[in-house]
Amino acid sequence: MSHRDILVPDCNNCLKLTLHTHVGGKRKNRIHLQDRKITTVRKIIAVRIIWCQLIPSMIPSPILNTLKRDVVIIGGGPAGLLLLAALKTSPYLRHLLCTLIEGGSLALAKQFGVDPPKEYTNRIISLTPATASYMDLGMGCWNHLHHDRLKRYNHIIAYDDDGKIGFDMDAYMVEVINVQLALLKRLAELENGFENVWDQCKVTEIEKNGGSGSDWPIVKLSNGKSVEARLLVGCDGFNSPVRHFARIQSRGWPYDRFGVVATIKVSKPTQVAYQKFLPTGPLAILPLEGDDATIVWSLTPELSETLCAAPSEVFPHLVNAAMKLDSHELPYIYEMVKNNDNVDNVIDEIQWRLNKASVFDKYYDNTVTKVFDKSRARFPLKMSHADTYVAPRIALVGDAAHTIHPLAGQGLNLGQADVQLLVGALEKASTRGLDIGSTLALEPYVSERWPANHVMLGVCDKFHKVFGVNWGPFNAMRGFGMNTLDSLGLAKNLIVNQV
Amino acid sequence: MSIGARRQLSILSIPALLMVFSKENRLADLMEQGRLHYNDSNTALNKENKQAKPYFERREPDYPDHIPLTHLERLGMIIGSLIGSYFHPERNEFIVGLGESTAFPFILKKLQHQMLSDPVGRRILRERPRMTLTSLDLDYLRSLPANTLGRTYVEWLDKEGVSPDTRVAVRYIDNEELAYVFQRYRECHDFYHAITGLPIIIEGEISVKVLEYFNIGIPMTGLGAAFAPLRLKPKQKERLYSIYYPWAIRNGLRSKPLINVFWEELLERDVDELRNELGIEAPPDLRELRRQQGKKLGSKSARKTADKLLQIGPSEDPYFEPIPENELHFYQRKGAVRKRKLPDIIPSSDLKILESVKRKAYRLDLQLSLCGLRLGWAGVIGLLPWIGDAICFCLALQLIKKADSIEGGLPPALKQKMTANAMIDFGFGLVPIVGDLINIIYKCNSRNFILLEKYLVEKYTAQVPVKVGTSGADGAAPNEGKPPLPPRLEP
Repeated sequence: MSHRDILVPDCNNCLKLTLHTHVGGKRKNRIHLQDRKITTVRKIIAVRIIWCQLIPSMIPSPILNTLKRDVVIIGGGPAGLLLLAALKTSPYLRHLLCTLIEGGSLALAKQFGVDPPKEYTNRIISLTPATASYMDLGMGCWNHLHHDRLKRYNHIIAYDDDGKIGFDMDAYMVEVINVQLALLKRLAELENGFENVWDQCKVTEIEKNGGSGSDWPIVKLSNGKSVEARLLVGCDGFNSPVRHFARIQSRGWPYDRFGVVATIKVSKPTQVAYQKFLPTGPLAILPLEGDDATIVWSLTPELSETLCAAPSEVFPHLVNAAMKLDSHELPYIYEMVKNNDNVDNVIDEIQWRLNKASVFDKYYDNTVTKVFDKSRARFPLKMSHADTYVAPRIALVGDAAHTIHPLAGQGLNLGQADVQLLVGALEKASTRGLDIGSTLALEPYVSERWPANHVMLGVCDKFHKVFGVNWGPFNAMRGFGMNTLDSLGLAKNLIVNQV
Repeated sequence: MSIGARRQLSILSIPALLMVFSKENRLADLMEQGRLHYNDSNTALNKENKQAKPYFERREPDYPDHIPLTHLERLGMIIGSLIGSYFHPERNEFIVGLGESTAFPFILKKLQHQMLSDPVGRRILRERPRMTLTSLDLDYLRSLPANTLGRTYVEWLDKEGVSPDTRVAVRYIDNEELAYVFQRYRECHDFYHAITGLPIIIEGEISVKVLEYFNIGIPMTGLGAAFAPLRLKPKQKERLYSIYYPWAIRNGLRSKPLINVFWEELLERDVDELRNELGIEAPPDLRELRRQQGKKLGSKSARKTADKLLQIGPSEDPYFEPIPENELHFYQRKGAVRKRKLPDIIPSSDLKILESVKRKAYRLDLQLSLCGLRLGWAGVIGLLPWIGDAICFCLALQLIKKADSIEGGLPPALKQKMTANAMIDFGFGLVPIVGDLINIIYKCNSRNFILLEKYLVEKYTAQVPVKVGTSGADGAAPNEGKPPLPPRLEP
């Protein structure tokens, strides 16, 4: 009997089986098993099929305390929470049984809703208009944000020693925890939303279903429970266990840079975000409500250590110096800080250079006055992209799928766009009666998002590389290019619309 | 557009231009500005200037005495100072102008960053010391012990007979910190002289310029190092190129950046110690060397490489010869030239060819003259960008072909040489403007003509039969030396 031969029950109830033999694609013989003319060998084979394929699937799975869910989301960051909220909002998907598993505690986020801390937390991200409108119109969670901690800015100035570009773009600066809070509140409003968020459950293991017939992955948790998932979504960050389970490689490279974040105060409130490209990496000052701001400064590992350890009286002056002075003048100042020179000496030197002709601070006209000491932190920068986002019964969303350089502030926004499209693909699958975990259902998600994300990752990578070159003639050309692009309104509009 | 329409348009353009620039238009402008027929009795009392904005307004100066230049003005200053300083290096204003106009911001910025990276340099930029007669008290310097920097400096001033007059203030460099950097370089120039001992004569100045170029990098010093020696006598050039240039290049490259030296604080230091620290070695005394070499007779080695390098044209004039004195007419001065007759040894067929080659070469290389510069049709045609050079190359090849039609043809080596000449000429001509000038000086057709004439003279002098006397002064029979005749066949 060839592999094409199938055993088809005559009807649901009776035991009479008909053997359809396929030879060359055409159905040939119909042999009735009860027909005595059948040979013994064929009978034995037929019996094996009955015992190994049909009957086992009629018996429930051996591990009796495994819960079965349609969607299991691992990771309670903004991407995971948004996915759960989107699933519960969508009319085609709200009937699905979902669970969100978060290893850490969401108590902080809930606390944030009730009693937010006075100072800003240092994980602050920027939301593009597309993300903001999805959160507002698509999700309806915009109103749950703490609006007094949300800042809207409308202009970006990116410059270096030789040229500048200004963009008009409406975007928002918001703390990550604020976003998480808004999504949790939204989930609480939705039916079957909040109850299915299990926090403080670590994932101990994800394993293939050893049982017969089913390929649903089993997630084992630290509280002893196990969940089988029709679709397992990994929103669990760069070292995603879901991605490792699916054996999807993530390729990329480390940038040999660290991003230093800090919350600072500036001398005058503004609605403009500034980004200066230094040879080591970009320094961005993003405005927050009032006269607060947040900085993200990409530096070499040694410099990031030096700056994180610098005294907090000196740090604001260093930021001023980096934004206003010629980038060639900075290494001397960094050396002074590294050698633990007297703080007053360092400030004096910086003041002297800043007092030079106003030629130096032609683009950045604000002044950094103070840094909130505890908010200084650093994280390594890398670029990484998974080979694919889907596998049978697996989907990857957000940082599990891609890691990007923070210079364009796109990280969270890419994750939100992923969620949008994944939900769209699942909706389509659901309306057509497909198994949402099948690759056929998930394919539109990866085919739309993978190239778009790849382009964005590539563009940010090239920006990093182009602005990392520090050679006189090339710098002049780059500056000339920036100035030219600045004067071409059409080109700029195109770029802004892409983002 | 048809020919007729174009002609009409060009004819109409003249009255059109006249209309645009006519008196009526000027009056209309005044009317628009409200200044026509209108004498405002209050204008005399009006403090504000209500006149039209001037056509050209210079931007705000960065420091007192600053004159910000536009790009065109800067270019004009560069060209003017180049020409002026080449022909009159003794006049200070050309050197000053050249220095300031060629000091582009990116070069001065590099220098500024060099100063900012060094603690002493940073201090110089902060304190802004200027060398005035108060900061350099000469009497005090004279009282210092021997072999200190201050004493050496004053002794040099006295030896050369100059005073440390304050140098001209910088006016044409934008950005006041960069202007100070350039001013500092200018004021330290005398110290470079003092520490090396080079005098203020032109050779000494050039040597210091070379040292400055390789150490500091100011463009004017580089231009001086490259072009200033061209006007010197051969002996001076030889001295410079063989001794002082290598010294200056070696020391400029290996010594510490001289712009970061705070000279005013080192006046009491020992000069030799300072030289060691900075990495400068003292060059041979230039004045001494000149004195010694002046006593020796001028040697042939004086006409060395530099001279040869500059002589691009053919070394002799093949068309004219100076008339010997006994044949001069009363109206001709010594040195007058007449057309040269070609040598007689050459038989008439080859002579005709040589004559035609001469005429061709003359026509192509020398027939015209432009303000004293002799050029030919090849020079004029070669001015057309690339087609011209191709045409000239073809003409040169034609000349070579004509030369080839002599009896026996040109030997391959000579033909190779002539073709090489033509190709070098073509190669030079490809460079847009400078190359065409080189073409005009190189005169490859004349060179080929000289080569042909020399060859023919050689060929026919070799073939003139040795005149053997019939009685034989050397006692030889007429047939001696000739190969024996073949034996006659018996009839």
